[in-house]
Amino acid sequence: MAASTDVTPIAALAKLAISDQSFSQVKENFESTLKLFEELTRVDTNGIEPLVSPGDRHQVLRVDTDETLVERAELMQNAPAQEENYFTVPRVID
Amino acid sequence: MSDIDLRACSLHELRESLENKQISSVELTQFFVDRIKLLDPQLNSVITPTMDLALKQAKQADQRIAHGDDSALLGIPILHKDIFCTEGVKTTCASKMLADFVSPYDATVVSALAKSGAITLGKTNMDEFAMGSSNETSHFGAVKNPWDLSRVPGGSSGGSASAVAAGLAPCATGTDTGGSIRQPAALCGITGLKPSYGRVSRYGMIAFASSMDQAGPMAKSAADCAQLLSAMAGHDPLDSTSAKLAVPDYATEIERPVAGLRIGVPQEFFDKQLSPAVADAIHTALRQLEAMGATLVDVKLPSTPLGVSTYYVIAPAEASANLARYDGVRFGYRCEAPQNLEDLYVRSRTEGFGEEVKRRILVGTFTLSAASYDQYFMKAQQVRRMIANEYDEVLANVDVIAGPSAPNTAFPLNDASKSITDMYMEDVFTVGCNLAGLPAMSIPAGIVEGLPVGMQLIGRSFDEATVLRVGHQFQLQTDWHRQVSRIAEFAS
Repeated sequence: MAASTDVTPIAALAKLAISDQSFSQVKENFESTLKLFEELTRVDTNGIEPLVSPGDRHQVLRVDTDETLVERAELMQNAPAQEENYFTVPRVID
Repeated sequence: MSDIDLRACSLHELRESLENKQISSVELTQFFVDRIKLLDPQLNSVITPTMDLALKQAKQADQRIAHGDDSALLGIPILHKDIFCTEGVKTTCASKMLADFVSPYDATVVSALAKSGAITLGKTNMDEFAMGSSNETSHFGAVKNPWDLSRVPGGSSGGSASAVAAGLAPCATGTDTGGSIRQPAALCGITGLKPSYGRVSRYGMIAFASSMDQAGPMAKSAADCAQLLSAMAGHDPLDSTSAKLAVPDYATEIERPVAGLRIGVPQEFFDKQLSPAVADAIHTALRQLEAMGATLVDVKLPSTPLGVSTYYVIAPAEASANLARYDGVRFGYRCEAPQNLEDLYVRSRTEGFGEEVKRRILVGTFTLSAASYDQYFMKAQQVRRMIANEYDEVLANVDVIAGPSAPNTAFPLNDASKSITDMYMEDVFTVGCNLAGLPAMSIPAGIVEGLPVGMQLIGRSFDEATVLRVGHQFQLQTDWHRQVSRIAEFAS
């Protein structure tokens, strides 16, 4: 069942797992949301420039200077696992 | 102190009382600390109270006042939505993912308000990662509406709205990506302003949809919001999208009368989705503005019905990218005993995010995927341009646009009859301003069956001054903003 729908590969891309119990509910919600979008496909948007952000009127540049806003040790305090001031994860190379 | 009703005071009145030594900041802060302790168990509006920090800051404020410091908000307590990073204090975004996250720095909004002398009372509950219109998606449980505890306060800034409406704080911060300040302000009977995109820095405000997220004030009146916005607004080099524009003197601007202003009334805001009782209340409020000398003008925003679908393509797309950072590696929730890196990513995210957040990440991942990018994401960006153009055209001929903030008054908690997409339709009148980046405010404008109604005022880009002015002048002539919930009446 899971392989025949679009939700499963999307979930894999998003690094989310969908349990067997919740699968039909997730699929139904996903499809009802996409149904909401159908009205957009009927709008004639020929020649209209996309609006990515209301702030896209100008590009903001600044001098590329090096500064420390937060000390490394403070940032590391929220690390779920660390060793010698580095984040640690399960072994990735055997 | 005993003859001042601290729950009813405006920020200006509180400042005067502090200045005249009728009350100290410690006493004022203690008053609201006690109210939170006493009343919040019924509301669940505060996730993390910061009582000790607040009383420490209040003592410092009293010393500054004694030394003649007259900073605009000196000694006044405020609650911050738990989406703003606060140094040394938990910042959870109402998610299991960040339940134990302690920010190493302050958001610019928080530091700016602290610089003006505001006292941090605590962090308010919200929909998880600001995704919701009922405050029911919080990992820390739903927030209750102080007007009726069986109803929602709206969302996502539901904790801030509920707390201010219950008199647990004189004011609060909120954020608004699709209506998250205005809709809860409407449902809780308070005043809430979403500034123009770029008016207030987003630095340290946890990202949801970066092209629409904006911070703003929530308080009892437009005058209070003006005072708060003055402290929050302005360019911040730490946010490249913050505008390099001078911040007007809002306190002066709002004193100008509305006579001669042209107020656009879009017919699309009064369609079948709007409850007839809310429509009546808004029409009465519009007639009040007319009686004050403003001219009502019928205007058209024909793409209004497309706003919700456009928003629900764009916001989840941006959210799916923003929330990719929560991978269990550097900060936030990590699953127990991961078998390998993939397992760490997948289980941390699956266990750390709630259902609504995952739903939106899935939708956003889909609309950004190569096969559907043009069909949905690009298309939505084009419709976004159409919507923004319509607002610009209308606002070239009127000074503000007025209409309802939400289609209904507060609805019941756990309303099983409301589908996911029904919930999304709550935002039908608010999302347009986020898509177009415009300033908009909700002000109390009536009561229907014991529940408040909000009127929305929408202004030209970066013209918060006129929006606040219309709101303030309306509030000088009406007392809807002085109506309080039953819980707010409860004396400490």
